Amino acid sequence: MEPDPLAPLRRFADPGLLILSSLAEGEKHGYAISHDIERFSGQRVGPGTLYGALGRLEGRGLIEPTTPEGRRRPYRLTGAGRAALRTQLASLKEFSTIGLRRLGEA
Amino acid sequence: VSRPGAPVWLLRLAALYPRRWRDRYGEELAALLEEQRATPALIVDLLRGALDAHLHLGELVPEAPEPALRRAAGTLVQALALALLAVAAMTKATEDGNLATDAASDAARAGSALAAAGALALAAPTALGLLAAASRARRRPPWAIVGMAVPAPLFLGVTIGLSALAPGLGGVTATIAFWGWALAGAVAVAVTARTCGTAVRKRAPHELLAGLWPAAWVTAAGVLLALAGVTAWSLSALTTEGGVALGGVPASLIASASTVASVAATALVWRSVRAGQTARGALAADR
Repeated sequence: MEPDPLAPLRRFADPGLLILSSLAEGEKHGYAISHDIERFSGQRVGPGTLYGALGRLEGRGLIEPTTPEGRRRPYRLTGAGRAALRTQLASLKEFSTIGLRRLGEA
Repeated sequence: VSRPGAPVWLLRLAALYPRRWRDRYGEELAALLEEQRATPALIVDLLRGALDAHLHLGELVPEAPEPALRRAAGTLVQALALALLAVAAMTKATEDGNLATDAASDAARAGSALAAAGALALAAPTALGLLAAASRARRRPPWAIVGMAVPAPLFLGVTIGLSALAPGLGGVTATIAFWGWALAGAVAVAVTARTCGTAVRKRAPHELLAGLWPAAWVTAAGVLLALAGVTAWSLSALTTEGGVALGGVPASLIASASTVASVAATALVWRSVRAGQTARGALAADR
């Protein structure tokens, strides 16, 4: 089994996955990320949690900041971030497939 | 910029984050908060974020190895002062009783000696840092030198003066004189530690600190031994009936304060030595 690249993020692992998913469609700044996450997942990620997760993702080289737009700084996925997201989503897909099969819905 | 619900006090909550964190993310956080409405959930989230930033600052905003090493050494100097106060308080609290003869007090003394040996080796970068601070001060008074050199002799003078006066003092006057003397000692240690810690953090040559870091481990080992002794010693004093009163205060109360100081100093010492070791490793890897 491949090691989980988001495991060291502890309670920030879930927001981290949401952020990576949000950035998968292109670079975004903090407000746009939090708005996008709420739109596609229904979850509100508060500013403290958002920047806790952004800092950890940046520290692990999974995302990187781009040129600031005024006071806002957009972030984008790195190659490692894209790979980590792919691994996580594949794992979730497998989990989801097994769960649905056991429910007789797939 | 529209501000649908960001009162000024909400923006000011960002000040609860550590400075280094604010330097990196502060503007972004402020821009984000300006778009938010102040709700209890948002406030709790912000407070949790600030606590997390304090607890995991090194993980969230990694510091360059050189300042990280100097910061760790500076914190170690200040932790030494706290340890010194804990040992001194316990020694004084129990010197008139029969509580200072067990193995715990011996451990505290042996640890203190070991810590002193390590600290002497670490005095070199401190001294260089202070000299650098003094040379940069130019026309201003070299406060670093004043802060290091003045408090200890001043306290020694106060101690000698009070020793001469003590036989003539009695009752409330003697109690006030004792606590004045104890407070002066604590202030002298605190000022010296702050001055030295700041000088190390800002000016000490990191190459020298990296070379001397094994001495920091010796110091830490001594401090940890001393503090373990003080904690055991304090706990034994706390459970001994009829603790000796010191300057009108039961020795048990001083032992409690000493225990708290010991635990805090232990955490600081351990954290700073490990942080310094990590920074030293990063410096070595950079070369």
